[in-house]
Amino acid sequence: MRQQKLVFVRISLCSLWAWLCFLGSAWGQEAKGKAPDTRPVASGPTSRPVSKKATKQGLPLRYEGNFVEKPKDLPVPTVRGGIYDRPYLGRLGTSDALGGTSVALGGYAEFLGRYFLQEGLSDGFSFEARRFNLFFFSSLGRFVRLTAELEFEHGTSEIALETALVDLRFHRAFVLRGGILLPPIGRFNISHDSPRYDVVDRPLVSTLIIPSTYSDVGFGATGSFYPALGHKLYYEIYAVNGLRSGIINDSTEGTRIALGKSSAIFEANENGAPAVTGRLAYSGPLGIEVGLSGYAGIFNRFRDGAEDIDRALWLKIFALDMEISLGPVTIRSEAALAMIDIPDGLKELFAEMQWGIYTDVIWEFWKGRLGFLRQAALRLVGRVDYVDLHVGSFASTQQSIGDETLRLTAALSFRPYSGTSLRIEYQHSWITDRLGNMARRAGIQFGVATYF
Amino acid sequence: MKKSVICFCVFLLLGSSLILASCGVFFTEEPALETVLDGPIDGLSQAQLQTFKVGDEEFGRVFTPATGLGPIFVEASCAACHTADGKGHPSTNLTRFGVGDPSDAARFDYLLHLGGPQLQHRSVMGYEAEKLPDIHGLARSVRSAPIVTGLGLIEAIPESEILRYADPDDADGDGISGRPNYVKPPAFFEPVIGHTSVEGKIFGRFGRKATAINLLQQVAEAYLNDMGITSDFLMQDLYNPLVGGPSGDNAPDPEVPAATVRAVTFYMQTLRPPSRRDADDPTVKQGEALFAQSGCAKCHVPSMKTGKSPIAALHEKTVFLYSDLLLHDMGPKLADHFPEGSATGNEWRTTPLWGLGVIGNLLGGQPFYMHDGRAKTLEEAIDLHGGEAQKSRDHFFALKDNEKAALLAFLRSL
Repeated sequence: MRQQKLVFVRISLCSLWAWLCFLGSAWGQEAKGKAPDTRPVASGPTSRPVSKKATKQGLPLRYEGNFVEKPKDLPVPTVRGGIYDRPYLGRLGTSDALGGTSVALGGYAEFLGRYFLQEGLSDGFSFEARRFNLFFFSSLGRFVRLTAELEFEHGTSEIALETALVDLRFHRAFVLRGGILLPPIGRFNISHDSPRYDVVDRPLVSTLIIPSTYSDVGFGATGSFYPALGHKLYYEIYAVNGLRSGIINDSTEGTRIALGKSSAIFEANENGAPAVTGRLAYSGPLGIEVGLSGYAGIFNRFRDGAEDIDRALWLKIFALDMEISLGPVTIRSEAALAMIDIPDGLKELFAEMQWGIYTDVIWEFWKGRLGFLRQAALRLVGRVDYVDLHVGSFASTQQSIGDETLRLTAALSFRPYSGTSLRIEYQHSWITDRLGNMARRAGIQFGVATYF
Repeated sequence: MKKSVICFCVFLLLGSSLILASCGVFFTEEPALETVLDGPIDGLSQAQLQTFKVGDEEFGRVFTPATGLGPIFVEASCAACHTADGKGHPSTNLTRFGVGDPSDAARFDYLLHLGGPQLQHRSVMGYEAEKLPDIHGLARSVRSAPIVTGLGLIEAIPESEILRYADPDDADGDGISGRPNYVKPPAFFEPVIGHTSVEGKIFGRFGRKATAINLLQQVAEAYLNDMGITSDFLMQDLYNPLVGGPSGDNAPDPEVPAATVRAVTFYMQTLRPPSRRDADDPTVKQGEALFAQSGCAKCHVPSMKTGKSPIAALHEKTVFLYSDLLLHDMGPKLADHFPEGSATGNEWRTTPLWGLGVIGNLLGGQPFYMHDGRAKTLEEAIDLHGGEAQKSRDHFFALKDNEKAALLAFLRSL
């Protein structure tokens, strides 16, 4: 117990030191150049990200011929925080450092520290370089655009091309898209950048049932409609290679949809039957955004040439997501239901149905000038996470099968700029194994996530 | 600027307060030792603890098709059946089957050509699981995995100590016999001092019918028969004979080396015995006396002594196992009609009662008693006792309510 207290005293001191360092460095910046805050404010799908400087001077900032993208021609984001709603795109047309203004580079980074205990036992304190992602955007005029995201996870232990897609824009209501894309299952998978969130961990439902971040290769279409002023409908629909049999074959814990991801997805389809995924969304007044989405695909190798070698096993995921802003309070939620065909020889051991939900309530209780920070903000966030990874009951006892987790998170986030979040949070989980034994896990995390 | 600094300080204070507040109320606590089963026995050296840890990890390792699971199997890890080193949930029960004379193993057909004697009712993706054959008079023995703690102590009890309680012909006329099960040792059996051979057979002490001679045999056979994992001890993968040939498992054999099997064996040898709770409570003490008076302790022998052991922690210790490790006729309600070794279809090895009061904690709050988990309460479990245990069962149900409660309190304290 004494040792535990010492650990916490150290954590507290570290926390204090970290905040002082942050204040010191910010102070230093102010003294150095009094740089104005030109960071773009991440906007919604009904607006586009534009730097304050650009706003002040009017558009375009630079225009050097047809090849050069004008900011007003930026792609219309189909989701708030999605690939076309990132701050770096606001720089497009403002710099010729790369030999032209048709290319934009950006990214985000996320680092954190954490201390957790499960049933009173801890592995101690740990730091993590969780993500360092690079964004690329290039426009070859209004018709062809390319965007990509290269992800470095946990330092260099996982390097992945998360997105690399080409858009052919025929009309804002019809854009052909192909390449490595983010299947639009729910909202989180297509809008998951860490700096957008004020909680360190990703929602359980969006990582365990919707396997965010899930990239796949495929083709499809996307576009948006404006049925009335201030109202927008948008859609995305793609055919992709689809998740693989790792959902079952690689899992040591029962059905785990995220294990269906594989880098081999980008090379070929394991079973020759593409999966289909799509999302239909509406955005309107009060920053409301509601989406309905789904995925359906066969995940096992059921055919070899002309021979059927197994029963085709389907994975279907349905998701409902929403976001609404009521003054300083934003509510964000996502729910998903997955139905999985399980071979006869593995029934009960693997789940045929899973579901989950999360809800964030974000209260921006203070926003204003803080010294040299012109648009700083403080937010309190509460999150409820629940997933049931095995809906069903044991045939032998008729008892409900467990494999579920309830997690509560309370976080405090300081945003010196809209694209940067310094947060500290407390998390408490109730984890029930498949037999119904419950274990508690609790801990604190703090970290920083920022766009650049 | 002053305002900014105040804001910053408030933020800092809130963050630090949250951390400090988390120290006490909000962090989880370790469960009390006597409410769980896992952990090493006292007195292991650092080197032994290292092996224990390796064995612990292997015990919890979940196999996948890539690491050799199946192609047919019952569960994918040791820990799936022995949850937290405890008893198996009924959903993890295994089934043995065969047909013939239940009183004589020599005249019993274990249906090897149909996948017997053990049913592997699960299979990896793309392969077919076994099914029970549709044969008239098929005997099915459904069994839950037992508690695995304290097994090293049981292994270290000399054969002669156990045989003191044997009374195969009921010479004392108390209606309780107690027979040892002598079984044919497997090819990889390594005899040690104390093992005696009776017509080429060795005394068995592990398993529901005492068919395993030692823990190494128990572990190697469980790897193969329960998980479809080959080892240096048993190299041939399990295949569903109904499918007609080997397929479905592309992992090279052996799928685990001898070192892994030995590490898991060591882990099981050195798991601590279950701790008692409320042993000094007067009601529990009264229950203990009633337990003896009812004749329960004739089979559920409270303690035995270990002999010499190369593991100091197991050497010459008193073991409070509440079992005589012998076979007894348990009557028709519990009969599985499935003979093994010299055990008949009516006989079961006396199950050690230690850990009885904890198993519910590890099965989602619901204990499942008896060899197949069919009893949800201790009363139900006692009621199922017949045969040699009939008198004790009747004695229990003839007790006054407070006496029954005391006896049950004693059982729950184990």
